[in-house]
Amino acid sequence: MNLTLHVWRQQGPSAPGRLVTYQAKDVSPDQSFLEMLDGLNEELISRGEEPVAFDHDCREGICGSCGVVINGVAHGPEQTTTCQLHMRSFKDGDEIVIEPWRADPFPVIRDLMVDRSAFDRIIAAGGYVSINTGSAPEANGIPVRKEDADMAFDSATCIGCGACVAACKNASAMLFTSAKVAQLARLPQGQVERKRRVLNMVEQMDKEGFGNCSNYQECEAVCPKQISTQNIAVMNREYLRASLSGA
Amino acid sequence: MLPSSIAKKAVVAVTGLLLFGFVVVHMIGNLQVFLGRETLNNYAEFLHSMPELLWAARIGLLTAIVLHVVFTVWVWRENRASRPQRYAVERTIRASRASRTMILSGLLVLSFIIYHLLHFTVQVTNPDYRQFYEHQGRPVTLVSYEPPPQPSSSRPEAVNGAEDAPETIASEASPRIETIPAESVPVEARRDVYRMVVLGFRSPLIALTYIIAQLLLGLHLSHGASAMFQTLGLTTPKYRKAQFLFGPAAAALIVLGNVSIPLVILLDHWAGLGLFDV
Repeated sequence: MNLTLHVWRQQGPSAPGRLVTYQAKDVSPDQSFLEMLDGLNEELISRGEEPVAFDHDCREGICGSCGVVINGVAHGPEQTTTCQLHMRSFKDGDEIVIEPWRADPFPVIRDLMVDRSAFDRIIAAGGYVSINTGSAPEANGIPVRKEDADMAFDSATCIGCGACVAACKNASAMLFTSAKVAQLARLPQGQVERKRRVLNMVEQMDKEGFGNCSNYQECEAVCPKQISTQNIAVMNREYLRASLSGA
Repeated sequence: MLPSSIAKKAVVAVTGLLLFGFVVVHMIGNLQVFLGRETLNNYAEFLHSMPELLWAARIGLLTAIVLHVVFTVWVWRENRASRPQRYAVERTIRASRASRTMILSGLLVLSFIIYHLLHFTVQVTNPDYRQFYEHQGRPVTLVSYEPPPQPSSSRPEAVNGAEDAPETIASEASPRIETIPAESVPVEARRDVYRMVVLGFRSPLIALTYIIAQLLLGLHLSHGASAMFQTLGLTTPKYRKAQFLFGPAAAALIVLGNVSIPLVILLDHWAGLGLFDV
């Protein structure tokens, strides 16, 4: 099938960007969205033009590297990562607008690539446990309730792709931050730093310049790992409890 | 130190919860208009019987409104700043219309509240309401007594007498102005809230303003009354669905209750049913 692509092209962080139109010809419906972009880049290189820069790594939906906004939806029409989105989700003759994640704390590096190190700094502010858990302890060494283990695991599936920020009308990082807070608050290993963690991570999140939560639920709707906004309620509870009890 | 994003939203949620509670109590109080003059005026008299408590509530509500608006505008400005470069194509998948128009519905409801206070509480838009009194179970209009121009030869006692009773009470039914000594007015007559409400909503423009404002309030609460659970961390996996339904359900009841007052009064007036005795 043949498609018309409008791709955001931007030379560097401070350079002005614009949408450039390209024709993608003979696209197979079995190709992934990234393979379609690979095809476009091969053609651009053969014409002596600069290829479109975009982030990608594992291409199997687990690393969180890839991610672009496709026709106004983070990761496009399927609720999965961009690498797992296939061209069968589009029709011959479709026009596709491809833009990078847009948020003040996610500056564009080039074209569709954004700098997501703000997420790393949020994790570094408290998204870890400091106690030594040793080498691969026996699964049942420390008892964890089945319900807690399941909920902690659901939160832990976040791959940090940033689609929640990209989809949020306020460019808020509440879903990302809350997933880590909720995961570690559920587990015995996370109890020591429980209060400090939530206070420090929220402080860092605010410092990065992410927006506030308006309970739109847009983040949950695009999350490739279906992280629930219930995590945000847990983080709000953890934060208010920690600040009221004076951590 | 500036409050965190979560703390700011918590202020909005707590003040919102307070204002939501007020809206519910206010509606239940006002629905007494359907029970007749005596019930509604008793209720109004009861509210005004404890001025200290009334003013404490008024100041509390005013503070809640100011905090609610100031913090909302604050987070709204931050939210705008966190995405300076907009998307060329923007789509909404799940966010409700109500959630996306909170700032607009909120500011419109705020302007309605200001009008509502000027209309029924301060009564500057309709100053004739200040003359509506209930005297011995009957509506009366309190009018200012203007002493007729006195000839210079009149005796001084007559002038003094007119000053002692500057106000008179006149029965609506009778064209003759019945004079009542001024000092007896506060004892026997009380404010006729019932007549104020019924005559107020017989004006189609005023009734329409109130109905539109209640629809906007409903839109605002359909998101707000659910979101406050989430913001205060009170949603739990088990009751999550019910908590998200609470807002729309509560908003529907409030719209129904509040719209019924101007709507029924206006329809009754147009149809000439005479359900309301003024």
